[in-house]
Amino acid sequence: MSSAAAILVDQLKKSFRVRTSPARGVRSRLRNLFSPAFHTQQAVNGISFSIQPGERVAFIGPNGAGKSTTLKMLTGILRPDSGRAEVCGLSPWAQRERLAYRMGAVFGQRSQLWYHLPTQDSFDLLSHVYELPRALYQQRLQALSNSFELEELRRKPVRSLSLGERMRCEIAASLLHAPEILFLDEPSIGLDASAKHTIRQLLRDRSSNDGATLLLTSHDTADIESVCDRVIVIHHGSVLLDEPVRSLKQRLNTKRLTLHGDLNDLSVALPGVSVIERAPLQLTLEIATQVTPVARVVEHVLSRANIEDLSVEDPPLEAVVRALYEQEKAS
Amino acid sequence: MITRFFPRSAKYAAWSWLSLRELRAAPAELYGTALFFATILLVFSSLWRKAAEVGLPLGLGSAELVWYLAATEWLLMSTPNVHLDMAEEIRRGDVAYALLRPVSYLSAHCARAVGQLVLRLTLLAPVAFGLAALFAQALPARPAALLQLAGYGLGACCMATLFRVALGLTAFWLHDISPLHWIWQKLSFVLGGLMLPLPFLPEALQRFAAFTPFPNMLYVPASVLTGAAPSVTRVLAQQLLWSGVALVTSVWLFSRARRAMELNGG
Repeated sequence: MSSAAAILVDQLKKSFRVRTSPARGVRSRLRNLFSPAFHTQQAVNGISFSIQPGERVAFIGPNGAGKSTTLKMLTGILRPDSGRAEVCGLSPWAQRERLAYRMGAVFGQRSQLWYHLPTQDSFDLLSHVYELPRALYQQRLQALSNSFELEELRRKPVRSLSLGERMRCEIAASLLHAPEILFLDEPSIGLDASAKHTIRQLLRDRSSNDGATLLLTSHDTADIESVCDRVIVIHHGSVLLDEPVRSLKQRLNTKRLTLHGDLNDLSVALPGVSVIERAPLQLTLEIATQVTPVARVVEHVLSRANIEDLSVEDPPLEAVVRALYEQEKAS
Repeated sequence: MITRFFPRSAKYAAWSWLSLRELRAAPAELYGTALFFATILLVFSSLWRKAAEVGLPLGLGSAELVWYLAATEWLLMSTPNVHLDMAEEIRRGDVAYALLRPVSYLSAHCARAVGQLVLRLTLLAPVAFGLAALFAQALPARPAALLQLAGYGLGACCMATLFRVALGLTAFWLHDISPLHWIWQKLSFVLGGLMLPLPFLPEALQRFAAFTPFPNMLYVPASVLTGAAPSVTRVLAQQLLWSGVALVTSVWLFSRARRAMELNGG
């Protein structure tokens, strides 16, 4: 592991003491009231990874996998049982306040903006919180206003903003002090398709322009595909997989073949080929490439139907992630 | 000047300023408070006038009691409900995320409360004293006592705010602080002398009240209008002492809560 890493996690462990639900019956409930029983739940079980400056990494896993616990340890909210972590070269839980000046956080379901006041007021407050010199603050705010198109929104009370507008302001607020690392937890939750697209584009652009490191958790795999280059999948508190998004998508050894044309009578009876979607003038097939090569399937369909257009793609990340979770569950 | 010597005070001053602006941006609660104020004073001024017809103890007149009530209600209603905001933040788990900013959680809440307090005291003062003059149909016996009330009142409200901060922090363990809030509120009504000056209470209760912070929150500052207030030195000493108790309790509660949060999450 490089010591110049933006985030360094080494054998991090965290468990919680959880109250055990009492067994049925009045007696056991009464006993539990006066002498409650506890058990230990291992939330994070020795995870290790490192993230280099400027990387855009998705940190995903099913509910209860340990994502939030890990994020809370990396931001200094939680103290681990054992292991080591460094964020910007600082120990998050021991040097939380120093780290706060160098990191930003966006939580899709929480707001750092003052509800009744124009967004500008919240930006002003944050400039004081992060002790930004006035001129630098004005310069950064102007730059962010231009890229996030905030000029009009800054004058509106937060309560009158749409969710998409509010999220643009939230992200801009988190970037005001030019953090080296930005933690994003479900930044697109509840947004419509257009707002999601804008947010993803903005995140990618800002990271490319400023070289900020992004660590994103999201259940929306489109966020990951659009913003991140690398995925860390966590399950049962351990790292299940850590690899580039592109290779993750190729992991299932499947491809999607989409055909356009007069396909009503076309049936594809080849091993390892299944129909994903059939519409009047479109057919989508999933091909297990280790069983039947794509070329063989293309040749097969071209000889049997009048094909106007075709495309071959990797399966969507969602399918890959779902398959991964299912494999893990089965094992 | 202050920010030159205490650079970090700027962020808390900004916090106070913003809370003041927030209250101005959403004044509905303040209008409701003013309306409630008018109702309370109308009801009690009628009551005191009737009671004065059969004679009030301690040689007080109905006008003095109306002014006393206006003063105690003014202080009570000006003290921001910081504990309810904090309890809600703790219950929702937002407190953990507030720790991600380079500010002291307690100082930020205190600064926020101070902003609200200053505005509430300022805006409710004309309501309180205008209505008191209207319903009592008289000015206080010594109008200059109103200035003294303002000084004592500011100290009393700051002290009460610090106690409310401590109360809000109990949400880390209680989750729902409404029972505790209810008890605290009723104690401050009775032992603080909200409706009537403390000498109206039985002697045993008066002695007990003297060992609590409640009289210094309402009775002591308001009693300047009935000519019964202790000396400035004594009032300041008591306010400082109780503020210190509230502050130490808050810091202790928060440090315990933070330790628990670091171990078990927000």
